[in-house]
Amino acid sequence: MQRKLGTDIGLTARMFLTMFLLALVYLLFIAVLWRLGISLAFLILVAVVLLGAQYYFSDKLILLSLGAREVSEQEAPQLHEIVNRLAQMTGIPKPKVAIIDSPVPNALATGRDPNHALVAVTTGILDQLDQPEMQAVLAHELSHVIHRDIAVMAMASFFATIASFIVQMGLWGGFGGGYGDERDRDRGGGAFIVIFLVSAAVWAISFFLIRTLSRYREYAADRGSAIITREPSQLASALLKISGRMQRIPDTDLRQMQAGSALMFFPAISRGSLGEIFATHPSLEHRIARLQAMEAELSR
Amino acid sequence: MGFLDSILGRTAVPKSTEDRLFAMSTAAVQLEAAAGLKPAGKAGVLFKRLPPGRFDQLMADVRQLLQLQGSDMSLTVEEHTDPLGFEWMILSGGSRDYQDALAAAHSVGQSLTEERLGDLLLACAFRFQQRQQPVYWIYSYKQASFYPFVPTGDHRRDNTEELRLSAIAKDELPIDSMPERWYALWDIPL
Repeated sequence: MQRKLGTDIGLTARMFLTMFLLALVYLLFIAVLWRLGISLAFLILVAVVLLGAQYYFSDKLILLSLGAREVSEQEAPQLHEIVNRLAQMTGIPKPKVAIIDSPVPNALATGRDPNHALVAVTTGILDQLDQPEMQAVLAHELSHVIHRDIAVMAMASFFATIASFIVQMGLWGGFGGGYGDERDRDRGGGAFIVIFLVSAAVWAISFFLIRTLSRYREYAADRGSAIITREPSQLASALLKISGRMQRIPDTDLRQMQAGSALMFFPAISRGSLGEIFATHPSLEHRIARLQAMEAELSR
Repeated sequence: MGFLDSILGRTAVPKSTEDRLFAMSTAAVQLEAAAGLKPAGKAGVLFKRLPPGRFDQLMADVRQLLQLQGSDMSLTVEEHTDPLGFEWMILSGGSRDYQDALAAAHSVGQSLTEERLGDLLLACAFRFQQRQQPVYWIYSYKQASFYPFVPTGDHRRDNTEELRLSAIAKDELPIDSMPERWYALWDIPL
């Protein structure tokens, strides 16, 4: 009998904790700004305008900057078919489909909610993956849509953006210049320095929290793909293919390497630095290991 | 060495290479549970050109060692010269977790190292079965680490499966972090 994948309670708990910490940092940030005399109404106005703009336009900006082109069913029938099937299986409206003309294998989803979603894939990923792998990747992207990750991440990074904006203003403009007598200027300067420092701290802390949250959302989308397709190994295989690691495994025989001179080791050494960079990047291994655990869970 | 170790000036002595080979003894059980790899009870030590007569002596030493250890004698030792002219010491039978084979491979390594001939040891290969297909874990003495090798016939290997296996086994085995060094061993005689 085949089993269903339940929720990953550990992942949910860690995600919740990260979001809680992020909200806490932001609330403290607002409290400090408010205490230092910045009008609450002004804060809310800025928040609503910026958040609204980010909410409605960020996906269009992303697509514009990447050069994604929406394709019709006639242009990419196979791609449309997979997306259509996945949308039906998950019960969301079928997202728009776009192709990015780039040899770098990648895929992404945008849109503030499932009604305005779009999935885009590069020509590179279409060349490298076979049908089941492509389906696994698109199921991962559709999971982002279902989880509303675009909106979640936009909100999560919103106050971090404001904090970084304040930090940059401080660096460009300097503080303390102003009107009034000496004492007033000192007080104003002091308040601005506090705002500057608090903003810098908020920016730094939220940077790490946002990246942590983003990683958790990736794991969640991997899990979503596994639940939808019931084939976690296909996503694992796709991740390995597009990581570029496969292309680095040699076909040369170990014994031939020995028969020749020591110079034969030269190519391996010259590519060493690249290898070390990848070695410090464990997320691929972690994702594969988790997908493997889900595979075991499903076949038990 | 970690970043924290560097800034705190803590020096960590790397584990000796012998310990790393022995990682296989505990990993074999885990590999079966996590990846469905069944130990096939065959392992082989691959040598570079040894001085004349040295290989026979090593064979005799290993046989004696196995007798002394009083292992249940289910492990057999054979020699094999492959078409490329390289010598193999093939260890078959023995316990499922390669305990006896590891002891033999270790003693070979030790006696060659004592004579400063340690760099004549090339690799130690362990055979596993995965759905009727052979899968090998290769231990490189030079790198003191393992890597997977999944031949699929006629100078072809399944890179996807190799990377998948390395991801699964990363907590069990010291794995060579540079796939560029995962050299093939075509027509491996075990």
